[in-house]
Amino acid sequence: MSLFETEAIVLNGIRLGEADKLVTLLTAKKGKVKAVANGARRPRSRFGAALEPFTHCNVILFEKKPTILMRMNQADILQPFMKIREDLDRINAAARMVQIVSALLPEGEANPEIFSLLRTGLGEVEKRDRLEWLVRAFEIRCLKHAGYQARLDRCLICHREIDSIRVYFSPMNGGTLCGSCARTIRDPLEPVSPGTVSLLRLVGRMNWSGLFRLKATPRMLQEVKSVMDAHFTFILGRPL
Amino acid sequence: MDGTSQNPLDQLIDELRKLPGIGRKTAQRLAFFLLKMPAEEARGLAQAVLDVKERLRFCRWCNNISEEEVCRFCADPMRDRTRILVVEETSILFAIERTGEYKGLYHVLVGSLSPLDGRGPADIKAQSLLDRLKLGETKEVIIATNPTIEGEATAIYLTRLIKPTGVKVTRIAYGIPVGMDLEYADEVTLIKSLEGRRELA
Ligand SMILES: [Zn+2]
Ligand SMILES: [Zn+2]
Repeated sequence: MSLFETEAIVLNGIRLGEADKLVTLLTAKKGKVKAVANGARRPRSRFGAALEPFTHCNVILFEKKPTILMRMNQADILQPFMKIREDLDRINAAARMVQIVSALLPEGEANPEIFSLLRTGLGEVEKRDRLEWLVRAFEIRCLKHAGYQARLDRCLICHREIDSIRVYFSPMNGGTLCGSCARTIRDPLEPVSPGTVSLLRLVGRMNWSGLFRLKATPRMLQEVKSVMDAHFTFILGRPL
Repeated sequence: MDGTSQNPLDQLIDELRKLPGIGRKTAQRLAFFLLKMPAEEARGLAQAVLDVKERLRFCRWCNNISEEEVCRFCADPMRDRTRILVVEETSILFAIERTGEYKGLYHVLVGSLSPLDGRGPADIKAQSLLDRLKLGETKEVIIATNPTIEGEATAIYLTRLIKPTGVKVTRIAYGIPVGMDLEYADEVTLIKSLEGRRELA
């Protein structure tokens, strides 16, 4: 039996029974967890607006046994990210981030990099206008911190540096192939331009303000999207 | 025993467990209560369940639950036809109707947008609202969706959809529950109530 306090970001919540909520949180201390907030849907609930998706809060959780759902004792808002809720495109961008984190992380494993990535990422959703670019960059960085960083500097098969015009991304192997090696294998491949490959490489090592100095053409954005969609589909076994 | 035929009590318990918020223990308790009920009352309950399924349908204008093609609000000549109040579910319509303060028409969306669960515009009855606005009677659409992320997304979407028609769109105020001590309100609730403030005469 233990009571613990941690920072958390609300990923999602579903109604439970008459007045309760089952909340999925990304906590700083224990990674993704599910907790029951008793009475959270009552008008004078002590949780107030703290359990709405995207809210960064400080929570006190009670864990009786690892096999039993945690109970939430308290939640205080640290950052409500209210500007997200005023715009449908921002809501959709934030929803995508939260879905990626939910799908990618197992329960109960702390991941400080992803916690901080999501917390700062939601802050960016509030203030940036290039939302599609923001979401793509989030995906790339999130995969990296979840242990699925794509290998993009060399061909996965012949290990030569990627410099030709024809480059392919292999979602199954999580990296790039040169044109001649691509012809030798039968896995599904995504063609990408060398510009997109270097963009993908850069994004993995940059912070948010650096990312917004990078320019991406619509074609590059489209290629990044195809690559990321294919990679997620392979990792999760289903499209995200 | 072939294992497929269940005794009637177990079957009743299983059926009751399908209801929202009913676990095994509650289902058992309800089943024993029904067992002890006079036959006449039990028949009344069973008939009421059948009636809602067989006799009720959605109003062709507002999607409220109705016995007729047009519900009692849409059919009532005394109601203010210049206002339409939009809700996510019929249960909210009933809650507002209980106040006795609202005299206009309703529109039930039968759902909400949920970016987190992939429910989009096709999952709510918004087009039929637009069709109603085209009739030209409406002067104001009052959006009364929940103050949740789903309700917010739905309100923003509807506002975007309705704006080009020139009909005024308002949203009900959100803020401090009556009877609550301001001291205990969280910052989001406080900000919302500040945004919804009004001038005192
Ligand atoms: Zn090669
Ligand atoms: Zn009606």
